[in-house]
Amino acid sequence: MRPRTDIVIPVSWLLLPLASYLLWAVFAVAWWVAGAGVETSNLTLVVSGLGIVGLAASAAASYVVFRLVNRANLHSSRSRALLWNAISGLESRVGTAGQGALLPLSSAEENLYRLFHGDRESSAVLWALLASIPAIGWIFLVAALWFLSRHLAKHNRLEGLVLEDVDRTMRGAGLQGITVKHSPVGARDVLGIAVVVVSLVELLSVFLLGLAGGLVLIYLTVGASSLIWLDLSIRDPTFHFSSHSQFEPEILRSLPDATVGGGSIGAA
Amino acid sequence: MLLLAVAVLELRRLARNTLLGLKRILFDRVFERSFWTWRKHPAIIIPTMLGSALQVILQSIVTLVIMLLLTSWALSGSLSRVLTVFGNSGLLGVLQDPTLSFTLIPVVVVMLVALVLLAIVGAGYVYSSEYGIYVEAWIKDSVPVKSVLENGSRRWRAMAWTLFLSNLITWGPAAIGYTLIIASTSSINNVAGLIAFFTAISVFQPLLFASLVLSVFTVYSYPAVVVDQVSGLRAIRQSFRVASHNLGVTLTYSLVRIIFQGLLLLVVFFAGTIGLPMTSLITVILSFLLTPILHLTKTMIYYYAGSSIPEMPFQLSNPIWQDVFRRLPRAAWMKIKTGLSEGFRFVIGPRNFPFHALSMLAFALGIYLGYYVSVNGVASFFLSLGYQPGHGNSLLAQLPVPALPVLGIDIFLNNWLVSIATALSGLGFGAPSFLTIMFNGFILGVLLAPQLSPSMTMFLAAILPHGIIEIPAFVLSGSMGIRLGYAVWKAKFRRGPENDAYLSRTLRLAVYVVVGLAPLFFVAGLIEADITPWIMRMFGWTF
Repeated sequence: MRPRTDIVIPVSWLLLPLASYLLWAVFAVAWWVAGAGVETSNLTLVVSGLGIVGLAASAAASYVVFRLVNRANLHSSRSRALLWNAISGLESRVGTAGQGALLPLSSAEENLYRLFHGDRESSAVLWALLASIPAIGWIFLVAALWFLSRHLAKHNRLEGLVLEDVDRTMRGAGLQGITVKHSPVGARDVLGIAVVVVSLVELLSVFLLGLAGGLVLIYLTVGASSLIWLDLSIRDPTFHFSSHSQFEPEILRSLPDATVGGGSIGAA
Repeated sequence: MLLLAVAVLELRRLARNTLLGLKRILFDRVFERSFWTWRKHPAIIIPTMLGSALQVILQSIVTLVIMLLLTSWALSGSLSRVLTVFGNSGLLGVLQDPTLSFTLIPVVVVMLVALVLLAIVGAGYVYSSEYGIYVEAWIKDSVPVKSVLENGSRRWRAMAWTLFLSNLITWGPAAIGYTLIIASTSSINNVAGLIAFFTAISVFQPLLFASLVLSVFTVYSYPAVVVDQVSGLRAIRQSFRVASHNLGVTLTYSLVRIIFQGLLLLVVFFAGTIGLPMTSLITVILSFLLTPILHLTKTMIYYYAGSSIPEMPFQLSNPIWQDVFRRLPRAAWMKIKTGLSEGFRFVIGPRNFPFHALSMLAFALGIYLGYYVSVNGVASFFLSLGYQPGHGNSLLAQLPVPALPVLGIDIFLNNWLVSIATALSGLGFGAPSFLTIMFNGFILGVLLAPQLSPSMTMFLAAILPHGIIEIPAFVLSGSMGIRLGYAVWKAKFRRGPENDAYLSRTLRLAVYVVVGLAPLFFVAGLIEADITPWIMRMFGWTF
């Protein structure tokens, strides 16, 4: 099941939001020109045509957001199910006899509770739809990516704690331990705060540059930073996923019952 | 050491219990499974079809009243005068005319009362069927068409009462605010009136906001009726409880619904500005795809909020987009093929001839009545409004050529939706189907009058190219509706399992027949948009 949840999203998919970004910029310019009185009868047709193409591009870009958030959700759900099964398996093996394994097992359960509680999945459908709203969708895109980065960082930290305990429990129970690699994942708070601060400054610059100038600056900042952030979000989980590809087979070798079944739903 | 072990064991037990109690309802999980449930059980869209059939039933009351009034005025020779009064001072003028108001006001009042009652009771039946079938589809492996009827009859009273109360509580504040605005506009021409108007507007805004907030909390009222078997205020209270305990997922549901609809409206808007009519396409997407899936999602969010229901298990979903673009069109085509063969059997089945005959009679009667009222005053009224005989819809001439196939598809989908509603409205003992077909004939009869059609050749040039396919298809949907009405009549007045089974079979057949009509309406729509205007020009029409 791991290859279906921990998927690699090609960096080339960034072209979709880039296309959306450029198309809506062209749309805004065309609309501006039309409103400024240089209008010809065909321009409205062009603006509307651009609007339709822009909506299609937004839909394509929002699909990238959907895949990113959905990937994080599926990974979290599967990891939790795997760890739950592993700890349940360990519990039946350890029993009351192995007191050396009881303490780490108890700690693992406590940390698993923290993971269950802290892994707040958010709706990929909702974020994708919010990101597809023309113009203001970029703000939601930044919010979605910030949320995603923070979620991954927290998941990585909490999961690491559970894995350490699982490793200790397995060794205490006389089983072969697992390879736990520590590699903190950035929550990208600095980037998020920077985007917010710069956008606020640009919003204030409306008094200096006028409404159009301020909006152009905000569009440039939010758009460019969300494109960079998308790239980071595509790449960020790579190491985390590769560590899963190492310890999961190790867990399953010692505890075959820990396999996450679940099955799949779909049309026949 | 032993004490430590016991303490550790107790801690573990506590942690495990906490974990087991940590239930969450994840929107995406429910939404994805709703999509696959929709794919697996196509029968769950039938209640949505019944919803549009209910609209036709309601419209048929209005059309019946209109046809009867126009005909009776034509018979008494007062139609021209009524239309003159209507042209000069509108509907209000007609209602204020003492000679007309004596008959008109009671008729309008009775009609409005009938409309409201039928809307509530009908919606109760439709929603009871809809939400009941969702729960069944989620839990069971197969959902037969008879479930639509069984679920509808099971909780329709409770649902109608809940629907009434829920809408009253939710939209009551906004309705009060709106009424205040309307009342204040009558005296807007003085300062006090102006102040009253602005006060009404400032009161309306918080009231509207209150209604919107309430709508989030009453969102589960209908699922509560079928899941928890409650009704009225208890259902609304349950909805408030579930919504407030699961505010995150409830807001997610509401936002997803609003954004989906908003984006679709945006597509219609942009497409409309470049002459691409897409309203019917969006209606089809909303009616047959989004509404059932979102309502199913809502029902299941409510279902999983139940304290005795465990968390929905983690399951991987096959990619939805691949299914939508690859498998779904094939599955739809298979249904259409089945519909075509079922429709063919329905047409040639000797037992169905009486229904075909009745449907044709309705159409012919409609043409006759339409022609009669047209030559007795309606045609002159249209001419006085600026109608130019021999001059077609100028919008057709303004559309760019590449937009014509899109217009054809829009016409096709619109006609197809109407035919679906016409056939299924037969559940109202067949009368709505009969009246809808009659009204279609009525419109044609009005246009047939010599004052409005310069010549029979020109009239036929405008109607026949697409009508030769479209009219029989419409009549067939009416015939199907009349047969459905006959089946309802049998099931209602000659109770017995065989008549219930006949009704279920007829409903299934009706769905297949209207699905099978899609290719006919598709061809007719393309002809109407692309070829008919060209033929009309050949026969002297101008645009």
